[in-house]
Amino acid sequence: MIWYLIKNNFKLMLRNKIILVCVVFGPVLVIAVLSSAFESLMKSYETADRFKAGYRVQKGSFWEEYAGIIKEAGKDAGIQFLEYPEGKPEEIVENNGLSCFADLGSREYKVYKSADNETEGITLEYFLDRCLDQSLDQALIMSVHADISNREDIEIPVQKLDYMPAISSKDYYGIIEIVYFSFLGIICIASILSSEKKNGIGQRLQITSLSSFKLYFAKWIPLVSFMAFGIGVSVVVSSFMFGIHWGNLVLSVVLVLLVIMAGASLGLMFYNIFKNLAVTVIILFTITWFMGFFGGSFETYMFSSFPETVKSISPIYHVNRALTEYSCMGHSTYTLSSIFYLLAIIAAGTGIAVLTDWTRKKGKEKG
Amino acid sequence: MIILLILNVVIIERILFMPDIILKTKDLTKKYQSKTVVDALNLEVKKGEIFGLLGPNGAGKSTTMNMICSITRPTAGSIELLGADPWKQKKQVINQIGYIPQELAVHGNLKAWENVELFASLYGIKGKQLKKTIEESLEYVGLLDKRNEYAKNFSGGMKRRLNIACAVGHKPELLFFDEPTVGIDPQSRNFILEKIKESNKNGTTVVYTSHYMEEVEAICSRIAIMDNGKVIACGTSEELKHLVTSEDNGITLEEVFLTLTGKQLRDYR
Repeated sequence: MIWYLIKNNFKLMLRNKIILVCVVFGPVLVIAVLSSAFESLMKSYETADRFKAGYRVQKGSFWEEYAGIIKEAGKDAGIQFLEYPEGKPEEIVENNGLSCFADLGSREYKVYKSADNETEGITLEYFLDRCLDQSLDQALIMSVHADISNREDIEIPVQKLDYMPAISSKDYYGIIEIVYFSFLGIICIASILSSEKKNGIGQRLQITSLSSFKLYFAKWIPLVSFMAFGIGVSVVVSSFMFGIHWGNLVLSVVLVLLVIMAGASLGLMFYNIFKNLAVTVIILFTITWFMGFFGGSFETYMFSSFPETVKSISPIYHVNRALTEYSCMGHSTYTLSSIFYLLAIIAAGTGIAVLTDWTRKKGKEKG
Repeated sequence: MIILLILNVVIIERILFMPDIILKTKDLTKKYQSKTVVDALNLEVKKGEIFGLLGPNGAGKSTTMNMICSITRPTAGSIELLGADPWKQKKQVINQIGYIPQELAVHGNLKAWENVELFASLYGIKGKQLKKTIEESLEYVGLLDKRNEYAKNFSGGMKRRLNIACAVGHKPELLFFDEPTVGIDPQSRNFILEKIKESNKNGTTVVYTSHYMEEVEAICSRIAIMDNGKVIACGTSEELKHLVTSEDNGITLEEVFLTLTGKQLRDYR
């Protein structure tokens, strides 16, 4: 019985041409505006990557063992490492035209940076962190091959350090705007909600054996389908127009689909609580904006030193991070956390939405 | 032996001649905080009749209908609808009743047939049966040739007819009409009234509320006049007229209504 309701709700959304155009071309327009507006800013960040950094290594330390690999990986990341075994770091930086200096201890490091080279300092810190993170894997490979490394007839596998390269503004905004629009799908169901409210259809639906759960999914399923269709077209159009690289296509599709589902659940939850579409849209916009802005939307050049705890509690940060890492690295360590966050939102949103509707119905019955 | 025979005859006679009560309310009450909207209402609707519910604004007609159709829960009292309590056995009752609300509860951006499909499907009708239901319902309200037109392009009368088509698809035994002729042209009104009579002839019981006395008088077999949440008079049109005057002086139902409910304005909110 719910199938016909789903089908007709989907038709109602599809017949709202303005919404359809907004879903398809909204992201394309925003991507075009933001990617060109911030292109120069992101390029300056990218050029800042190519800099000279001095370093000093403590003898017998982990760093000394992998100095060669790290220097090679540094080149890929735009960091030219120059060794200065003696002298005060501050003086070395000033006298040699360096951007920053790394004092590498046994398994720790200290970065010296001047105020005008803040970005380079942060980049170096991030790079050294990644080196430390991956040192265990590298160490295992190297110890296996330690005894054979000097033999010319055996090829030693060299593993590159997984350093995240800088992302272009088109790829970056092409991805994150799709995520934001996907999260705001509730706007698409406006035509159904307003028609139901205006025409008293809710009362007619009440004289059926439809449960709150079925009524919820009669809206959730067409909303997700409509958004998947609209965003899908938008992704194709924007990728074609701007040449956006999505990297791992399968995982990207899964994540974007989960974002759409989470946005739909959250939107319907707020609507069931407030029974006011304007309030719902404002709340959802505010949440998305805060999660996006303080949770890493502009991480590449603003708020890059924003506390990690704030970023880590923003589901959108995890999703954006995962998708941008797919784009420039092909994989991401943020995949699982993104899926976990989104599934949690879907479950909580659905549960609260159904419960609220059920409670409201009981309240209405009682008057 | 003779006593037993007499007893049997009495029982059979009672079964045969007992009016089949399809809807019965007993001391039905609805209170909103301190305000009593429906006050210990006792109603009986017999199977196969068109029962009219008349009353000024705020008399409690719609609340009564909402309580019977399991939209608003009563504060006190009981309802027996088609032999069941609609609040305890909703699933058993729901498919046997049809409710035509006062609002035009149709989606403007859906075509006529899609609106009927949507609401008829909620009663478990599907597949070929659903297609047949759509055809029959639209034909019933004279909109079959407009089946592919959007409801938003319909006139007020056509929307009212579509509103009815959406409620009759599952062929209910009992139909509730809540002021179905408000704001429409005389032709559409006449059409709707004719269709109500036609449904009734085919065995459907109808509960009908309206402000239009002449249409209530024309179609209803019995009428209950409600005021301040209570039934103040109930009977056939003639019986109600005799409550006011014993002479056959051509008194109208409207005069009876005004005599019983008073001529003062009702500023109901």
